[in-house]
Amino acid sequence: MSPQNGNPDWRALEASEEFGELRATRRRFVIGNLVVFALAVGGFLVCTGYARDFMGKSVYGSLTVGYVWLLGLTALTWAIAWGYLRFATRQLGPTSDAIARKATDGRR
Amino acid sequence: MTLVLAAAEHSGRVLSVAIFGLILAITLAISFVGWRRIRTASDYWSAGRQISGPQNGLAMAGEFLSAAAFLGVSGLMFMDGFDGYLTGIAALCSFVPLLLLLAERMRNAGKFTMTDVLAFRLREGPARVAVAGTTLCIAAFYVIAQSVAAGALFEALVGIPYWVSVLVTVAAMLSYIVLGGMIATTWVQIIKACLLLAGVSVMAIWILSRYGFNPVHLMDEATRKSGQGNAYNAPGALFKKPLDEISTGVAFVLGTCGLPHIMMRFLTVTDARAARRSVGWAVGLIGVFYLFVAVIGLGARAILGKGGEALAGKGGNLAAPYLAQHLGGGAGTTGGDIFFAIITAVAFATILAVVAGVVLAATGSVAHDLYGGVIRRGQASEQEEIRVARLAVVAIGAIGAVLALLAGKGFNVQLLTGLTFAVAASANFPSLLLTLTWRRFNTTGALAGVTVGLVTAIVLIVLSPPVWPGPDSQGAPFPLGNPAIVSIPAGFIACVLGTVLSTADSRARERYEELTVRAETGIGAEVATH
Repeated sequence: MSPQNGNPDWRALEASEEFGELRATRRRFVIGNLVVFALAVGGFLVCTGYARDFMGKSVYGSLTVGYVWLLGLTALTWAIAWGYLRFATRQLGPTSDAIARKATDGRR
Repeated sequence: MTLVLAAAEHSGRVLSVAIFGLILAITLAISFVGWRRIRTASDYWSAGRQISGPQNGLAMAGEFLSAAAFLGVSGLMFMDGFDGYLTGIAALCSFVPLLLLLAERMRNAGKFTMTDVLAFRLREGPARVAVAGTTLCIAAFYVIAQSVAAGALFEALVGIPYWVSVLVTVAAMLSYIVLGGMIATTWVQIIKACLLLAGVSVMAIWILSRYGFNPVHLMDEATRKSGQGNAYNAPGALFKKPLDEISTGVAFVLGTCGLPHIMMRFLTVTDARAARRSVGWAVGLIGVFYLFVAVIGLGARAILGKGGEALAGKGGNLAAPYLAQHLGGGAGTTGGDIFFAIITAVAFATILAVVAGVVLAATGSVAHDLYGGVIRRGQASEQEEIRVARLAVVAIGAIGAVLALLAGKGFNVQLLTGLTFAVAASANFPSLLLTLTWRRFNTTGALAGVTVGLVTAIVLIVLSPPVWPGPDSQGAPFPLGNPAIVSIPAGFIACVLGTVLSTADSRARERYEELTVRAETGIGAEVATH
């Protein structure tokens, strides 16, 4: 598992400002989205356990609050995945490529 | 094949076997092509890291959408409505933590197996032994769940004895892996995903066309036929206890993050970008798949009604094939026979492909982690590891066949899969996440987490109502059908306690810097061959 042609100085890289920024950018996005996700999924599961009457309320015919929430979770999963792909390509990719190029003199 | 043909009496059954034989022939041909392309260990375990994002997305959907997702979820919806759909969507949601926390990091930091990422910072021997152990347990659970489906399917529908279908499954799976490794397994997954998606979309559209393409009309009809009234569209029909419902949901939402065969898929793609794109594709396909499966489950209830319950079997696993027969014109008609045969064959192809993927991951644990990493301490050549892998496949296949022959047939396969997810999420996910994100994390913490997670999950499963012996499982010591809500926190707590209570591990700390930089930037990541 040793990297090719000379080790980059991992410690210095990890402590560098660019890397810190890359990690912070990613962390902000990930934590923000995970909080939304956890609230939506956690709230849903708690309601299925302890608010069953509410989940069984009709919205339109047999389409209940529970089903609408499940469809919402499908949409949320799609939205987060799509948002992350956009974010990673536009904001993470260029930065991490630049760090990698600098650290390995364009070898990698 | 002659034995199989002899067992199939009716024209519909012969047709099922013929279509299945065709699928088998095509996939075996792929294995031979794979055989000729395998030169290095990277070819064998990671398909030479040549798979593109969309291809891997399809393959991941193929790997993920097991017989449980198709037969199990539609069967659960047929019987219990809302709660069945919940298990499917919870499984879909699991791709969010997978994408945000693990996908690219796995690609950047991994080599051949999930364990490589753990062994990177931690003491290699213990880390590999522990995770290889959980991988084998997960593989065993998976093989049982899938074989239960295969056996039930073929015994009930095509009249082939349970043991024959188990042997055919295992033999086909062996040839894919022994011959073609990850290259063949990937293409088998892709073909199977296409067949499955085509099958469910045709069925769903056919059903919807009967209800003027208004899903709510379908739901109204299914509710009326269920005789359960509004309870059919609310939580609680399947999971009576609130905590049982929540625990099963948690198992599905976090389980994917510890499944070794899904993790291994990230190592087959060209780079981190392809890794995250493949999750995007998989999420899209799987979401659409579950929408169609919901239509099939509700359609089975609306169209087959109460009378379908006897056909669908105790676990409800056979609702979808019988619905297909009914849509095609009913039992004994040509249309009914053909559609029934197609759906049965697709379901069987699904089972085969999933078993192949899971066993390939188990083989990686045996040959790369245990043999190469621990017994030979990294001194084994790649060719040697591949040879051991091929031997290991045969051994694992034999054990899997025995387990499957011993397992019972009355379970719903989706619920069995839920148990697998609980084991994966409790044993693997905590260590995997913490090794990538927590500077202080060390070997003791990982071992404690993996062991406690695995043991808690398995012990609680044994003590739970579905497994505990006795009529109606009266007096099972653990009240919940799925242990996730207890065993996942137990895994995390053990990781943290094990780390905090042991002395700091200077190597683990130093390598943390290297691991995070590699994982975030892709420096030094394994590259595509050729």
